[in-house]
Amino acid sequence: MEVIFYYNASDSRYSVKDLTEIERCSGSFKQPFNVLDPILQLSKAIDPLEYNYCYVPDVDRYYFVTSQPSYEAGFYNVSLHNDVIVNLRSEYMQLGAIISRQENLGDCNVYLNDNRLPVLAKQKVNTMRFPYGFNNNDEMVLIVNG
Amino acid sequence: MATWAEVCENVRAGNVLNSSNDVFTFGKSYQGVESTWFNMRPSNTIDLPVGVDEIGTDVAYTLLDGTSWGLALAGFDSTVGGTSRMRLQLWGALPGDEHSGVNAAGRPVDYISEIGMPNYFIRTLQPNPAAVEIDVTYTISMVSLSLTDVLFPPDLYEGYQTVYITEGRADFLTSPIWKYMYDGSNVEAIGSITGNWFEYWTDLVDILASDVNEAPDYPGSSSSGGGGGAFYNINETIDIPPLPSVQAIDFGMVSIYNPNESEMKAISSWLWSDDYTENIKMNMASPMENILMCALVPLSLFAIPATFKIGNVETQFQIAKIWRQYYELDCGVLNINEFWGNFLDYSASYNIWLPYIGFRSVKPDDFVDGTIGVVYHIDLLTGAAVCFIWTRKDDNIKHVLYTYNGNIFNGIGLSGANYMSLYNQQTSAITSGINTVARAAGQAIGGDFVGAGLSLLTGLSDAKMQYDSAKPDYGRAGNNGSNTGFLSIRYPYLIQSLPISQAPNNYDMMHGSPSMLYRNLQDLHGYTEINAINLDSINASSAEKSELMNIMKSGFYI
Repeated sequence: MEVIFYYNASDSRYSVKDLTEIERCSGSFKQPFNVLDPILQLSKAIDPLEYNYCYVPDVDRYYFVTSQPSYEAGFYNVSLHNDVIVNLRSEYMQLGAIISRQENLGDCNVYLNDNRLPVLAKQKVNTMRFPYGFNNNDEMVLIVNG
Repeated sequence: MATWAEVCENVRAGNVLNSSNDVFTFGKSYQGVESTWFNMRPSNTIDLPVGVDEIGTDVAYTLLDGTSWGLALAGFDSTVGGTSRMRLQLWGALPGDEHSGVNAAGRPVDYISEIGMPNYFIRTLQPNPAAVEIDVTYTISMVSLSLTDVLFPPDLYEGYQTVYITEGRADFLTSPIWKYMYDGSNVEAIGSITGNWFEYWTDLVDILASDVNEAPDYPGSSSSGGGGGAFYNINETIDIPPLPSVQAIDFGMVSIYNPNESEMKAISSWLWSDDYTENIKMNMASPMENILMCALVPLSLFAIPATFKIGNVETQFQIAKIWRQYYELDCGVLNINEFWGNFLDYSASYNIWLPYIGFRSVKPDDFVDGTIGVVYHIDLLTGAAVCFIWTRKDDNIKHVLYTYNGNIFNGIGLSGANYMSLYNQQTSAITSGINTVARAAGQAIGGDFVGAGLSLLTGLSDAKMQYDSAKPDYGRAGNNGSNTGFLSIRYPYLIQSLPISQAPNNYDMMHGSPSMLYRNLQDLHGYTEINAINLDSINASSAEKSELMNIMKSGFYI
């Protein structure tokens, strides 16, 4: 089967990756096949620092290259990890969800307590005076019978 | 309608209908013995079977089918409670109906059965006994009715001397099945089986239906509840009250003057002159008794010159006289905007300094992003001051949310005793703080005096400002007012203690901010953490879905 190797420049959590195609090779999955962590058998060794991402058209899945090749029985075995964020994007983007946190304030309520927001131990003290008060000059009152 | 307790009490007391016509009054059911019918005679002279309690005592009942004693009636399980359908038959008997024999004919109605001889019958003049079917709720200890509708039309039983109600399958009048009672004090009402009897019956049904014996909840058992919020929006204006309209100084028993320094000196000289003492010595033992209070107040007073009169003596002095007892001091407002524009603004602490009262705490929720105002109402006769703190937010509704009391008088000791009283008050204030002094004075003065009309303020008796409605309590105490308040700040101010956020650059891009909103993911971009989402519709393996859920909850970039 064909395996297309890429260099992925994006953080693993991005649902849209910044990919640069490196090479197209031929390989196969070592059996038994693991959906999340398959092992790819190649006829040649690759540098996972450069070939850090791949796409297998036969299963329509993108994978992270997670290990150095290990030679076994004439094949170079490379560990992969299913990039579910990319692979299932077209489906989950059709869904709605309750959002815990979001980057854009328009989709946030900042009046909710944010226990991740760092706050200094000291406080800022301000004083605000009301416009009016009692007189500074006093007057006398004399209260008498009658 | 008699209560259940009253009915039971009547029955236990033997207050049954007593009629020479042998009106059927009570039935009773019991369990463990054959279903035996008997009439509880008012004389209470019957011999009850062994194990059967006295008249009116609640006992268990086993519904038997009447044909095979010992078997539970179909549809009833006497070992547990439940509901079932029951057929009731109404039997009527006229005078002259004969009952004789054992196992052949009915026993006399005023006889109870012997154990083991349950079969009684009465010839009925009704070939088809009136019957109704009702739903019955029963327990192993008591059978009660759950319907309160009409059971028997009155025309079916009116005119009969005796009416029996049985479970309706039997051809014979067997056991009455209901425990029923009535108000036995009204003999005439049901003495001849009239429609009133039926009313009592329905009353009884009501009683019984309301007395269903239900199993109690076990301790600690949980149950559902809630969700019935009305989501109402009631928010009414709570405004500062108007100043009182009734003034004690209008009643002629007390006056307030506003002398300046020279006038005060002149008054002092005159008070101790022979001329004054000659005039008032028949009224008071000492001229000082006529001086109720001398104090400094931090207000601009409204006064009009008038002849100075003390006691019953008019003097030659023209002194400014106070004609308005109550004053309002509006200290204005502060508009407090949010500083951070987020939850931190409402995590801040606020204290407010109130002159002649002290520091108090106020909640940011009440006025942040809104307005806070301070108004004092002052009684010049006592020095009592009530401070109203009001707020207004974006709903534009004014609320008085806080009230505190104090005293604005800076009392002046006019004698050695009074001075010592003032001194003691101030030394107390040093150890307990300004608030204590202010509150003590305010509590003693404001609440009791305002509106009292004719009460006289002494201010001279002791540190707690005793009130004397008859004569000043001279020399036992001094006016303390709120002397320490005079030495303090005389305008209110707000102290705001804000937390300081230290959010780094790109904080939202790395962490986001709290949301808890429902959104379509296609409408979002950037860093996102999911709280809840349903991935069932996604065409993927369960392992992939699980991995996806974990990533979504821990944060990813759309």
